Amino acid sequence: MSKLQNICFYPQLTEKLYEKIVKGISIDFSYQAGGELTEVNYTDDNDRISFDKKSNWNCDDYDLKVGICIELKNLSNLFGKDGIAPLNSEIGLCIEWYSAQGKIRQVIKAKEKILSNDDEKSFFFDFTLPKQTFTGVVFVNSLLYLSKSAKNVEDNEKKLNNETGVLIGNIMKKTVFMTGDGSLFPIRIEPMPTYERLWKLVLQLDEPDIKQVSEGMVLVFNSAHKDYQFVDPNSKTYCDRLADEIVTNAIILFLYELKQSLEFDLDGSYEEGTILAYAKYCKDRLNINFDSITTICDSVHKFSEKGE
Amino acid sequence: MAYKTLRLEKIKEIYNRFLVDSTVDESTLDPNFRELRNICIEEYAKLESESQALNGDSKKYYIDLNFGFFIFEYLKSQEDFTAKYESNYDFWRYFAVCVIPDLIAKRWNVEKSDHFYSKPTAIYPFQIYWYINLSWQGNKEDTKNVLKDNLEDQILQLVDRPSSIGVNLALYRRIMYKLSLINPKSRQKVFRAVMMKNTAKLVSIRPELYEGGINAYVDMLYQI
Repeated sequence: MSKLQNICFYPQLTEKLYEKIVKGISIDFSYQAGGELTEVNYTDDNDRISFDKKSNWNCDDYDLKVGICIELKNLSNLFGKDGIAPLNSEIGLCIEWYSAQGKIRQVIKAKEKILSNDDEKSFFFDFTLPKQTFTGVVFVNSLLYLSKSAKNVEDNEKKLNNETGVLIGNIMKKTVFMTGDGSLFPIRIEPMPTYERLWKLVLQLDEPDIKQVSEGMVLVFNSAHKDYQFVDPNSKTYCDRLADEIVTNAIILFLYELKQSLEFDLDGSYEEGTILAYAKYCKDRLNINFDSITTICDSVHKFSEKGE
Repeated sequence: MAYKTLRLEKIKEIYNRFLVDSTVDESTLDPNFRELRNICIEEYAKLESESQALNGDSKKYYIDLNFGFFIFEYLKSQEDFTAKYESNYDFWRYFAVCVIPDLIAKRWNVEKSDHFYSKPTAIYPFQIYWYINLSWQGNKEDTKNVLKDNLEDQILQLVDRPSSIGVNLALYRRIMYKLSLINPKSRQKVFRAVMMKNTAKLVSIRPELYEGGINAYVDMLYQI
């Protein structure tokens, strides 16, 4: 992910330029316990970082120390008419982390700047994500910005933005799951009274643009129900078709309720992991027609029948 | 203090029960929350009586502002009231619907669930806590000076704008400081314009990276 997502009227880092200038990026996570610094293992699946469940670290008891190394090359490509900043300007690199849900953000600027006569440079960032702060995800981005505007801008550079502080590219965009693992359809199993139904969908669709899927919806199975054996993967009578049918119906309900609760287009770009991002994913991937409950139902079932 | 949260379905159930009988079942509250309820009732009554001499809008704002200070100071004084709870709507829903629904019913239309649970940024204790938090100038006296001539609209404009890139407290505190330098008669119009400009600017600029830092960024916002 190298481009900023919003519509922009000045040149920003393109995929092609990103390939040219990024030599390598590495991240490590650790926490201090009993006077010792312990590494936290993680998996990075398509820029979605989730932590090893066997680790003793958790975001309530320990601060999470983050170390990021960004190595850049061919830096002169960033400047001039084919670049993203005027020749005599300076580019800064920073780390921005934030949690929309936690209402918190921080920006850490690299001391060293990128100049047009630079070729290679390495940047190291060390910062801490504080304990007792997060639920869900934290976004960690590395941004290029214009740290010093050019005094003279050549005629062929007029299209470039020369305003100090303006964002001109995204070097890294990670979604870090501080709790949960970002599974796309959260499921909870709990023993409810036997007269309760086998499953129900619990939705909290307020603020769908910032709320994580895991916070906004959950499919609850009643483990005390007589038919639970058919949806329990550990049972001999497990029926995957029934389980699929229930998840399919839960997706239909979710999309219908969401459609009812807000003006609907899903044409924007939404933060990964949020309810709207998930709905947009469903819309695009499942090719959903939102005209009515029947058309939603038809689209989702059609996809489900394909068994993908 | 154990910060309780309840699932939305349960909250709705308690709210609906309150709509019918207008009573709060204190026996279900932990001792901490019972204490919190009692001091809230006492404080609210005091503020109601102090505000008698004021007219409609000023009276409401006087209560919102001072009850906000009260909740803010109380929660901030609790060691374990961390950022995790400060932004957790489930905690604020519990506070509103289980602890002080009767006080909220005095301030707002009880039939409208927005200020109880259904519109997160409008949940009354959340709204007035964050109004103070986003305006805090380091101490109560300075914060009061900055907020004293505002009205209810400024609370809504400030709190009812969830940011998709997290909240930089220093930014909002500076915005509120600068607002206090504006003639109260023009504040509503100026503040709305500033907040809209901020939202638009955040697409391509980060205040932390702006030349001159946050103060210069806020100065730019007020150039309208």
